Amino acid sequence: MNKSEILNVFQDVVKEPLNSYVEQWISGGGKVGGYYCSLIPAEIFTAAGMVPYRIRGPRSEDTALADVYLSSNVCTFVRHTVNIALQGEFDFMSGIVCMNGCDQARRAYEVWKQKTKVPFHAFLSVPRTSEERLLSWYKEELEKLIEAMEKHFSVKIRSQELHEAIKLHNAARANLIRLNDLRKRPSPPISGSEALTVTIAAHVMPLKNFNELAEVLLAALNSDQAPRKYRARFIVSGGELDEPEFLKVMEDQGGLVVYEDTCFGARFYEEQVPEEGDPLTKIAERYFYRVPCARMVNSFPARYANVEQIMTDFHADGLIAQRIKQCIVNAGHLYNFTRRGRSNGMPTLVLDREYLAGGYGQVKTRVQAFIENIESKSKKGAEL
Amino acid sequence: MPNQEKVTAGVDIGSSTSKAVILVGGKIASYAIGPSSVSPTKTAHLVFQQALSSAGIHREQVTYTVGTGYGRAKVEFADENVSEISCHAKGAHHLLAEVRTIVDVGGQDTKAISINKSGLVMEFAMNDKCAAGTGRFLDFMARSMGLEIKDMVQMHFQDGYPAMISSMCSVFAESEVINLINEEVPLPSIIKGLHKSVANRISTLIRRVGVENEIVMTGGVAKNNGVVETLENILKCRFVTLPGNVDPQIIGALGAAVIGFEKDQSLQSRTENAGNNRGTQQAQF
Repeated sequence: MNKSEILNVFQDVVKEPLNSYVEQWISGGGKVGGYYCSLIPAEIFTAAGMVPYRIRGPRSEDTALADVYLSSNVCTFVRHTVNIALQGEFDFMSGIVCMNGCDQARRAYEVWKQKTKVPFHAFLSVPRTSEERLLSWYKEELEKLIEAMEKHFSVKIRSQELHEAIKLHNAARANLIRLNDLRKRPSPPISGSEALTVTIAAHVMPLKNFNELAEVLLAALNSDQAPRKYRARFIVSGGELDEPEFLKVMEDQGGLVVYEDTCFGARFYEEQVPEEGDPLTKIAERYFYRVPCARMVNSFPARYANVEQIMTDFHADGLIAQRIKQCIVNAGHLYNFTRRGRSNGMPTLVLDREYLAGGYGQVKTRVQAFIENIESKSKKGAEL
Repeated sequence: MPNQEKVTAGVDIGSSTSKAVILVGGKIASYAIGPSSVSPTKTAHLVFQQALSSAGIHREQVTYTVGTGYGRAKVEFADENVSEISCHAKGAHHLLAEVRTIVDVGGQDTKAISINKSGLVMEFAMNDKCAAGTGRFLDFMARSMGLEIKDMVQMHFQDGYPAMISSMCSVFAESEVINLINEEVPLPSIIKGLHKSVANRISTLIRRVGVENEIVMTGGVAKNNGVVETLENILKCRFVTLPGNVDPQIIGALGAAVIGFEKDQSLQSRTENAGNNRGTQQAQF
């Protein structure tokens, strides 16, 4: 298969709630475990013999069913995903794991538990700061989850299963890291919307299938030296973002997204789990200590330092920080991104958006103006 | 042909109205304003043709055209399209070099833009997908009261306190207006309340980018003295007036035409210096 054929496969995988790979897995007797947040280790599902499936809302058109139970100040991501669940389109899952990522996700858990047919439910209480003294709390939560899954699914999740799972997930992460490294090139062989499509596919399909496709794709991309035209390179930051079409809107204005500092982006694949030592401890450490997201208290300095490093490594011209409206946890980080950008001169555009909103006219105007501004400033700089 | 005779054009396809400006030698020769339609391509041709006719210029004489506004991608005869944020900044800076803050209130969008002394955009803020704080909001309200916008402007300056009207949502505000009408609140009070509601929303955006003098208001709503006066009172400032009675509604199209003029000059100098050109640069780090 060539590059565009593999990308088409990944596009098919991400466009519907139930993709053909998961369907095939289920028809072979396999189970699927859904989860909501990048702080829930997907390796645990794999160790339980399941396919981990990150909950998202492809093809959702409205939130009418979810709105019966969720108030209008719940973000549209949660409302769309709950709506799909209430429509029964996530009934192929054997279980769902939620956590206290935010209050809105907690409300989602309650609806999943009481109003869907998904038989297994679990809730993780994750500390809101990555202090060493709290690692044991997080690990205990994982142990409780494992115990509950063992009991419900009549499986054993021992060190051996966890170790095998780590190897599989590390291979997927290695593929995504290699893919992302290609985006450092002056002419990346893949656009931001395409790269995000690949990353999302890794969240919702069996990783064995994903790795096979990703390796063929990487071989094709490695030798692709075609020049790519763009006016400015961007890093996109924020929390939830699983709509490749949103990045395409930015790229249609002349931008090129070279990195996604988001939950469905780099937060998923950066940093491997060491394959030596007690596997559960290593899993817990990887998820607990990696570059923090906005929900973690006092996380902004480390997050921003990471963004600044990425800006350099990926030769980015600007930062686009986005959040879905009503996302309280990301509101503070977006304000801080604006404030830091003002003080250090990093071109920064902040976008509030709705999940799956379409009607991107105002986003186009903002992004185009942002590109024009970056170009004007670089021209002025060259004149000086 | 010397630069002074160069003809450039800016075409601004907005949500309610479309505008075209023709520059000859960098100076305004003519402009046209017309209603937008369901076909932005046709609207662009129409408003462009009106401006050309008004200046007595043939289409072939125009050397560079820039499209802007919501329908900017549909100005098919344009050499390029530029966002309305850059165009309003350019247009305002072209007319008033001392301006540092621009507030453009159009039919669908409100934008606050801060620029430096070179006219470079430093920051901008835009309203979200919401009609509150836009010209469309006032159109809705005028329709609810069976008035024209010009009547509302006139009544704004009659006696009366502004009625309390929500600034959160156009649909709710409309029902509030109907309620006030049924309570026989005088129309001037309702109108002042509506203008206050719009001005409050606009002031939030301006404060986001910072209120730095001089400030100028552009867009169709800048012609509504009731809103302008209310906004000035809220911000405790005075907007500068555009020189030479330039219509504030054409500033986006003017900026587009000025960008076209500058591009055209730069293209010409590049052609003249072709022998010294380094050629197209490959992206390198």
